[in-house]
Amino acid sequence: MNHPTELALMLYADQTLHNKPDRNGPEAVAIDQHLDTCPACRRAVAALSRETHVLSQALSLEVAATPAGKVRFRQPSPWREATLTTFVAAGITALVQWGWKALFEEAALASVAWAASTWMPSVYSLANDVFLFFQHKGADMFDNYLALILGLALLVPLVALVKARPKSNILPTLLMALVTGTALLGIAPSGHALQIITEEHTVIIEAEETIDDTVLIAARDVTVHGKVNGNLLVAAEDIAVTGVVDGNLIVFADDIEISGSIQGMTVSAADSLEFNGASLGSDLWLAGDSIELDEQTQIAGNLSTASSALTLASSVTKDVYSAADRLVIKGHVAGDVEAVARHIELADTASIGGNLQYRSSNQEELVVDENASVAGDVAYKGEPKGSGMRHHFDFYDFYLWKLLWFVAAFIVGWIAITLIPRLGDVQLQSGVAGLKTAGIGLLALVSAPVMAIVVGITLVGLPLSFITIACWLVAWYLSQIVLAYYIGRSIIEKRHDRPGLAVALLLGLLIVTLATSLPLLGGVLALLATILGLGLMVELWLNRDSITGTLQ
Amino acid sequence: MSNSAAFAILYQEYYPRVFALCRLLLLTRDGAEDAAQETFTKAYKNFRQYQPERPFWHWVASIAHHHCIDELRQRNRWQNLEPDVEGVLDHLESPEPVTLDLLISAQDQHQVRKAIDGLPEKYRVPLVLAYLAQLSYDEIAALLGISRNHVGVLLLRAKERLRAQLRTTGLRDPS
Repeated sequence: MNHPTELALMLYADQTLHNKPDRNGPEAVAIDQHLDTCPACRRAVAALSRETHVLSQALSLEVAATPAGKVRFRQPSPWREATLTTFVAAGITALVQWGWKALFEEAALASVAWAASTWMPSVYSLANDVFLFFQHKGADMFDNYLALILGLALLVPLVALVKARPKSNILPTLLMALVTGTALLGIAPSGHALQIITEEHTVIIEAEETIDDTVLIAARDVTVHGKVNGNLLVAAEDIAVTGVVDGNLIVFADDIEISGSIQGMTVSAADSLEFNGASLGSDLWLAGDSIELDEQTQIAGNLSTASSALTLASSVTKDVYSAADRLVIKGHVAGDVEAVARHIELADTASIGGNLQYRSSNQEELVVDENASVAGDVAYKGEPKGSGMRHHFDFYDFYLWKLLWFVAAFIVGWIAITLIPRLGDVQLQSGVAGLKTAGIGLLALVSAPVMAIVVGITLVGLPLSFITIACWLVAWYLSQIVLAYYIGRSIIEKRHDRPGLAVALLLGLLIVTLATSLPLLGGVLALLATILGLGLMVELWLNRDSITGTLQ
Repeated sequence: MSNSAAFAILYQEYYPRVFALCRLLLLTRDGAEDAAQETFTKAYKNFRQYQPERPFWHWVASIAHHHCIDELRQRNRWQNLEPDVEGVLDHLESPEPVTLDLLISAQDQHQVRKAIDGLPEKYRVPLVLAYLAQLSYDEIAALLGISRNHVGVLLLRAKERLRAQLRTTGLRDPS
């Protein structure tokens, strides 16, 4: 006779085969039939059952040995919440304070000074003031506040360390604190590759001088005759660049004259911009009142301008995009020209290798000299767009995008909550707890990209930085959806015990979509919905272990 | 009665069982105290999610053993369950004489506890989960990430070791 294995008998004795779907399965039936004819196995099953019973009893005696009277329930330590709240409050305070000082206080003072002045300075003076403020004080302030935020971040492992003191897992906590601290303190200072030059009056980089860093210069007058093997960023009243810039050139001033060689991109904003015999290795982005590019200037990339007057005598290797009051083309453009202008003139020396498309008040605003040439088509596109300011409610694409967002949000929300049901369990508390949720959301919204950048500065942290940004974007997208579902669920729960996912999500999304589309308030409500949704998700993630047991 | 008051009563009643479960899983008294405290903290925070129709013991034990197994995994002490299992299923043929109940009855509680504590973690954990937490084989299998039969094999091995240990103890200390 073939006896069942001891394993099979134990499964049988421990009632494992008595549950569905095994109850009537071939194994259970075979053992039942075998036991009818085999006294030895019946004895074995009985013994195994006794064994189970005795083992349970033996283990229960362990329970009885525990001194129940000596223990009292300790309420969850307020330490964690207090620390988190302090951390959030300090972070928000620091950000608000920094934002206020950096963006409003000085900018407001500068605006008042500007408005109170008896003469009308150019907008670039104000831009200069703001730029100089950022350069002089903002950078230091940013460093200080960053240090504060990092210091606060260090508090977390330190508090964890204090909490873990009597526990046996002190070693990993200590290591975590050490690693976090080392990582934060070991971030390479970015200033090593940046040279900052600030003078009240004049900065001159002589012709024989070579700078091998990115240079940031702020002064009244700046002249660069030498060579910069990096990017050159300048804010001044008057700027002249006659030397060589190996990287990008970014300049803001009242008057700018460039006759040097720029290998990278050039971005300039000024009252008056002049390019005389300049060699520009990449794209050119210019904004100003008057822009002139002479015939010796060579542009290897595209030219994009916004100005009152643009005189283009240079040769442009690629395309030209221009918005100007008066546009005069005297040089050669190898690619297309797209222009929005009140008046356009193609002088006798002008030649365009591609098409010319223009917008103007009427077709006759384009004047083409008989010696000028356009290889492609000349097309009049009508009046400039946006000449009359209209609200986005006036455009059907606004409604189309809202509808698309709604449908996409519903699909994504339905899939996300189906796959991760806990997303649908979020609970927005009232009072201080609700504020805490909003604070956490705001902190996540602001700090995640900052941390990603900080981590990204260290080369090894670059992948982590990308992952952080990707997670942040996904969370940002999901935030309003999660909040919408919570709103929909809360409303329906008052009428029904178990609201359906689709109905609750549809209702919530409808409310959120309408609320965020409201004139004036819509933006604020969208921000509020985002930070609340983010806060709820972060809280859910922070408490993920707490409810693991309840989900099994 | 407020939730806090109700919870305090449940705590008084169930703490010994939770503590015993944690101690048997983690083996250290300090670790068990922390784990039991953490279990009740989690339970307290999520008390609103507790469904009264489900026995409280099942709910709180579920939190406790999840916590303890996470703890064991974090300590990197969780052993690979596979190697010892291979081939065992084929070699279990006929029932052996079962004497564990007699052996346990013949020993005092201290000896039995010592024998259970002396089991390797991979045998002790399923034993405690099966006979103290009263989890089914399928629940243990899901928790440990192994098959139901593997759970059975681990329990058989645990019992074999217990038998051997208790026999040795019994021979050394016949009283």
